[in-house]
Formats: sequence, C-alpha cells, structure tokens
Amino acid sequence: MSTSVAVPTGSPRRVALRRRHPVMTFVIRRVLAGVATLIVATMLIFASMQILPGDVASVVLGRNATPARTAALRADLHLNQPLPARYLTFVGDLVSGNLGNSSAALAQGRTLPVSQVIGVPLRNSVVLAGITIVLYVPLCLLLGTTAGLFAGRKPDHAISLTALSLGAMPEFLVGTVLIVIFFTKLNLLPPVSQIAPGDTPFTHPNALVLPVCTLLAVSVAFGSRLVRASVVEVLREDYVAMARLNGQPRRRVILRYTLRNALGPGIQALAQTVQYLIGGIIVTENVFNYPGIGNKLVQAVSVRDVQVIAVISAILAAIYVATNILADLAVMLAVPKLRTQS
Amino acid sequence: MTNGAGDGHVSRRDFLHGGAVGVVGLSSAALLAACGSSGTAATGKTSTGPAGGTARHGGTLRVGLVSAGSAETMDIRKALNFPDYVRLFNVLDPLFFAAPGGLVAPGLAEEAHPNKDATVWTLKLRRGVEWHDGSPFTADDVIYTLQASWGSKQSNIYSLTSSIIDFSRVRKLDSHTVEIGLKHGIAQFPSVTFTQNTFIVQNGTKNFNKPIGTGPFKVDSFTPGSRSVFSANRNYWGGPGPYAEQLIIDSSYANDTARLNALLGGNVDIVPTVAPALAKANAASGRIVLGNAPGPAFIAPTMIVDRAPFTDVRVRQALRLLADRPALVSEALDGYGTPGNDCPGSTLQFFASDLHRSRDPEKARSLLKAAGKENMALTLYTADIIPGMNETATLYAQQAKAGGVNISVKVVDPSIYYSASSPGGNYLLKTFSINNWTTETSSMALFYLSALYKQAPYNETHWSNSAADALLFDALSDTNDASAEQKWHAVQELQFNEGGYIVTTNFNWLDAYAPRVRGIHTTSTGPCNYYDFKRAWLAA
Repeated sequence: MSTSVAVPTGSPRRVALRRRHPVMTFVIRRVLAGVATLIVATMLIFASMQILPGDVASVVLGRNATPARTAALRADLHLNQPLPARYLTFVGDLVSGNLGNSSAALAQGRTLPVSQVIGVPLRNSVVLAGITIVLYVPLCLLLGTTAGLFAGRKPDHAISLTALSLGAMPEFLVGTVLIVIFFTKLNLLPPVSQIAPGDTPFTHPNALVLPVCTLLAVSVAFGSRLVRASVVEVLREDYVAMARLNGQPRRRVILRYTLRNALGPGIQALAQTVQYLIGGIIVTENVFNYPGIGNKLVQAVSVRDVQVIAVISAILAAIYVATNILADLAVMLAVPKLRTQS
Repeated sequence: MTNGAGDGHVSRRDFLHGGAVGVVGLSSAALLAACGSSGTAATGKTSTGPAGGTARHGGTLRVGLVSAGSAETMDIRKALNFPDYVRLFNVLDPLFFAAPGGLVAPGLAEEAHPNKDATVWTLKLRRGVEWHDGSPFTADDVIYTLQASWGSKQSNIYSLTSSIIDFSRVRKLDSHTVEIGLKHGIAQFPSVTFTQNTFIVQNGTKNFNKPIGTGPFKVDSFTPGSRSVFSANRNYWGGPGPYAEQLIIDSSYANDTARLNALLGGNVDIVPTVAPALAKANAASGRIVLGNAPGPAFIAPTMIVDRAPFTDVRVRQALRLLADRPALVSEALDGYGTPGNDCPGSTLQFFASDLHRSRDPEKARSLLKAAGKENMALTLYTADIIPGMNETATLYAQQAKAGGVNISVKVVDPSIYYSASSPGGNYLLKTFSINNWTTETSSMALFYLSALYKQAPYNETHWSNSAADALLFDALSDTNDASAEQKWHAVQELQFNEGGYIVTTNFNWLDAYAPRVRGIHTTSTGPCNYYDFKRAWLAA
C-alpha cells in the first residue's frame, strides 16, 4: 500500500496567494469582468453613434452645407478616420483622464472641454440621485414591511395598489401630474427646476422636490414590493414562529428576526434602483428641465456632439457596472454562506 | 426655414426626445389645458402683446429658449439656431431693420439709393454710432463685414449673398458712405440685407465668438446651452431703450413645455415662438399675455418639380386641390394661422392676396386621371422642427385620400432634416416633403432670391424656368412700386398655377409674455418684433 502525502510546494506566501480569500477572489473577478463589460459598452456606444443618421458636421452646417464645407469640417473633426482608430483615441484619452472637447463646439470653431460641459450637470445629477436613494431605502422598508406585516389586509391593499399604480406610470406622466397638482392647482412648487449658474441644487431646495418625488414614485413601487415579499416569506419561517411562541415581543420579532433577514434582497433592489435611476433621471430631468447630466445628454444627441455623448454614456455605463459589483459584494458580505465557501 | 439642430428647440429630438419629451409636451399641454384655464383661447383674434403704463428703466429681462447645446455660437457667420439669432440681434445691428409688410426701417444705414436699374446701391451710414468699446462706427466696419462675413465662405449666408452681391464692386466712398454692386438689379435690396447672418461686425474682428457690437446690449457672458448675460448699452443710438438693465437669454430649456412652464412659474419673462397647443392651453389662464400676429411664415408640402410624378403640372395642381386648408389651420395650428394660397409671402408687400385656392377633390381626380396617375402612392417626409409640421403631414395625407392619392408619412429625425445627411436628410433632394419658412421670409425679394429661381441656394422645388426667372428679375429690379406690383403678381400667378409649394397654412407668430412685461410687441415682422428686447420694460 502506498500512501500519498500532500507536500506543499513553493513558499508560504505563494500558498497564501493561491488560497486567496474568497471575497478577494470575487472582487478581482468582478472588477475584471466589469472592465471587460465597460470595454464592450464603450464599443457599443461608439457603434451606435454611427447608426444615428447624420453627424455633427452635417447638423452644424444644416442646409448651408456644401460638399466642400462638409468635407473640410469632417476632416477638422477627424470624422474621416476609421472607427477603430477614433475609438482607440477616445479610450486612450479617457484612461489618461482627458475627456476631450465638445465636437459641436469644435465644429463651430470653439474649444470647449467636455469636463466643462458635464462637470456641474454631473454634480447636479448626483445630488438628485443621492437624495432619491437616501429617501428610497427607508421608504421601501417602511412601506414594504407594513404591507408584509398586514399582508392581505387593508393597509397592504392600500400600499400595494398605490405603489403598483405609480410604478406602472412612466416618469414623464408622473412628473406632469405632479406639476399640475403642485404648481397649476396649489402653486406650491416650481414647475421647472431652475438652478442658476454658480448655485448648487441645495441653494434651491424647492427645485429638487418634484424631480425627487417623481423618481421615488416610480421606483419605490419596485423596492417596497420586494421588501413586502421578503417579509411575508420570512414571517412564514419556523424561527419566526418559534420566536413568537417563545413570547418575544412583536417589535423584537419584527426588527430582529423578520426585517434583518428580509434585507438581503433589499440590497439587490437598491442596486437595481440605482441602475434604474440612470435611465429614469434622463427623462425626469427633461420633464423638469433639471440641469443635470440627462439634460446634457439629450442636448448632445440632438446636435450629434459625439464626444459629449460618448463621455456621458461611458460614465453612466461605469456607474451601472460599479453598482453591480458593489451590490454583489454587499450581498456576499451579508450572507455568511457566500462569504465563507471556497 | 428653421433648422432642426436644437432650435429650440428644442425640439429637435432624438430617440429620447421623441419617445419621452415629445409626449411630455402633448400631455402637459392637454393637462394644463384641462386644469389651468377656465375658458377657451381666442385663437381667431390677434393681439400684439402686453400694453399699458409708462416705460421705466431697470430690472432684469429673462428670455427662455429651447437649447441647441454646445452647437450654439456667437459667430454671426455660423449662427444657425434661434438662441444664436436672439443673442446676436440684441448685440449687433443690421444696416436696415425688417418692418411689417416686408418693408424696412433704417438701422446702421440711414438711406439707400439705387442707380437706375438697381444694380448699384449707395448706402449712407448713420453717424454718431459707437461700438461697445467706444470706437466710432464707420464705413470701414461695413466694408469689413461684407468681406469677412457676408463674403466669407465660412458664412452660412454665403451661398445667398454671393448670388446677389458682386463683392469685387463693394467700395467705400467716404467715412460714412459705401457703394455695393449687385449681380442683378434688386429694388428691394435693403430688405435683403436683413437676414439672420448679416448683422454688422466691427472692422478687424478676428474672434467672432466675442463680438463687439453697436446693439442695445453688451455681452457680459456667453454660455452655450445655458444662461448668457448681457448688460444695457447706455450709449445706444436707437433709443428709447434699452430699458432693462440686464438681459438674460436662457437657452437651457429642453423643450417648449419646459420653457412655458418656466414662464408660468416666474423663472423667465418672455418665451418667443410658443407652440400653438401650449398657447391655446394657456392663453386664457391670466398667467401669460399672448402676442399673436399673422406673418409671412408658412408650412408647405413641397414637390420637386423636375422629379416624377411632379414633372407633370397636372399632378402638382391636383395635389394642391386636395388640401383642406381651413381644416389644417384649425387642426394642425390650433387656429393660430390663415389658409395659404400656394404663394409664399402672406402679409408682405406685393403679395398676391387675390389668388385663392379651395379644395376640389373631383377636379383633382380628373387631373390625375388625365395625367395617368390615378391611385398614386407617395411618400411624404416630415420632421418635428416646428409645431404643425408633422400634424400637417398627417392631416394632409388623410385629405389626399379623397383624390385617390395614398400618401405614407415618413417622420425624420429633426436634427438632420435640413442637412445633407443620408438617409433622412437629403435636403433639396426629397421628392415630396414638408417644409417650413419662418424668419427668413422678411421680404418677397429675400424669399424668392433664397428659394424660387434657378440658382437659388435653397431651391427646394427645383424651380428652374427661364421664363419665370426673367419675370422674377424684371419684378425685382423695378423701382416703381406700382409697376413692380403688377410684375410681382405675374411672378406669383406662375407659382400659383405651376409651382411646387403647396402652401397650406401661414402660421401666426405666437409669443408668450409675463404679465409684468411691457413695451414689446409681436408683429407681422417676426417673433417679439424680431427679438426687439430693447423696447421691453418691466412694470413694478
């Protein structure tokens, strides 16, 4: 009979690396996958801009375009270069932190850095999305938990029906209805979100109310339904029944046993909401003329400002990918089984 | 014609715009109509805008426009979008201002004298005018403008100006007199000098993006697609005014609904060229004062006359007979317009208002039968460039069925509609398309020289008729108004009988003002009397 003994090879450090912590392995894998996703996304963004009819040269020259003027402008803007070459230049600049210049401004003979075009709007959008998310989490928990605890009863019906109705409506409709109610009828809030240059959204808190309410109205439906389903499911678990039978106070059962275990899906719901906000914010900003990144994107598309479109789209794609990674990581950290399995 | 690139427009719209914002406009308009007003708008009546009180100086006047984003410019040669024009019209001055009826009023030129056949013009320039930097305005500035702007191939107006002016025959006679030689005799030449790209720049201007003007407002800051700030020029030669201490032109609005909401909410004071549906919904609300004046602007399904099936004049005549014009005014323009008679230039001097076209499907059928085009199928291109274009296309397609003509409407991205881009753009090459002419129709001469002769730069109908050109240039060069009127009538009669424009509707200028705004009026000349903000003042 022969025995085999596992003999460690290499240095102890190598072994440690090979037996990397599962969380670290996960993070590395997800980041690499995220980078690959971003590369594909930026490729698609570039390709999709080719599908759009017309280019910045034709749009800026309009009906005054002659073949000679169009050709000269296209050459000035390097639009004649092959797509792969332009893509590599874009990615190279992006990696080195250079966002480039607005194509539309260049076509008009001006130099306007994209960073200057999108800086303030990006900040404004982050504020809008941030406030929405900050309010979103407790609202979802409150409404979802209430609906779950009263499942099948009046509070549940009221919350679920309202949430589903709002969730089924598109942002522009919710926004318009809010304008009619809070401006046309009650004259309480402004119908457009005017933020003067040099001011921040916090200087004009009134301007934030309706856009935030619009985003919340549409997104809370999803999150609260998810929390409700989790609460209902957890309430059926044996350990909750056991806690109740052991005479634990209702408040303790809800907070300690029910809510905590229902939070897992909530993290994913939050991540999905952030991802939804990337799209929803574009529409909402347009309804209220909120000076954010969505508004800038629409402006840029209308004049085929390729550099601005590409940079904004890349930023939105990066946020999307990063949110996915962070959400997966958060779930992994929250669920011991995922964290410890090799 | 209004270009689609972001005119405000905003309209000008991509997938997101069309899918979301465009619908917002409709839904908002409908909802506000239901909730915001107690009565119906008097669309049939016209009103020039705010009135009353004694003019007072001070305050900040804020104007809301649809954004054209980073494509906006202060370069008069490259100006293409409404925000560009609105800014420049208040910083620079023209040689002559457009006036109601296609006439002109003195600007930087006080007098214009033609030679016998109107091929050489002597302009007497205004003395005592100062540029914003304090230097005097002289003939050198006009000569420089003609060479570096009007005569520059970089200029959007070059194709038009180079077809009219012989730049080699432009010369300075003295410090305030210039002579301009033309390629054709044009008795209305002063009116032709008023276009969106022909305002006068200072001699030696190198950076056209930072213009020094003679106009009522000085540039404090220019931010494309956002708020640009101007301060009153207290040395302005053309008083009274400017009254406002500061002018803010805010071109950050994503669409018409947003900027009208801004007016309702007190964020802006003036919204020029408001959409008819929004005007109708809010006219009686008491929150705005509507300026409503008929003008020469029009919407027209346009046939290229040298392309089948429009090579046969009977087909063109038949398609004109199928339009129910009163219905188009009422449905596509919400009543803010007048029926067209297939001749451009309603309200302008020499317009042939005695020519009328009524709907006659039976006659249309017989003409099509004679042409062998019964049950003809056509594609009509359109874009949401100004309100009413797409609606006109859809309604006209329905109306044409009565003549057995099956029209399919193809909606194109407005950003490229007036570009050479293919597909969708192909400007001047779309066989059958809806076109609009707005602020470029300030005189009959300007419009015909732009669009209706063989070598016209924007010859949308491919009108190429030697006899018609002879008639036109005879009319253009006639310096006697009485005989010129007869000749212009003959020119228009030819258009009426054989032309390619189906001028279904002339649309009114519609401007919305905050109730505290006074002094400014909407006239047949153009929106806000061609963005005449120097006249506006703010009531206490």
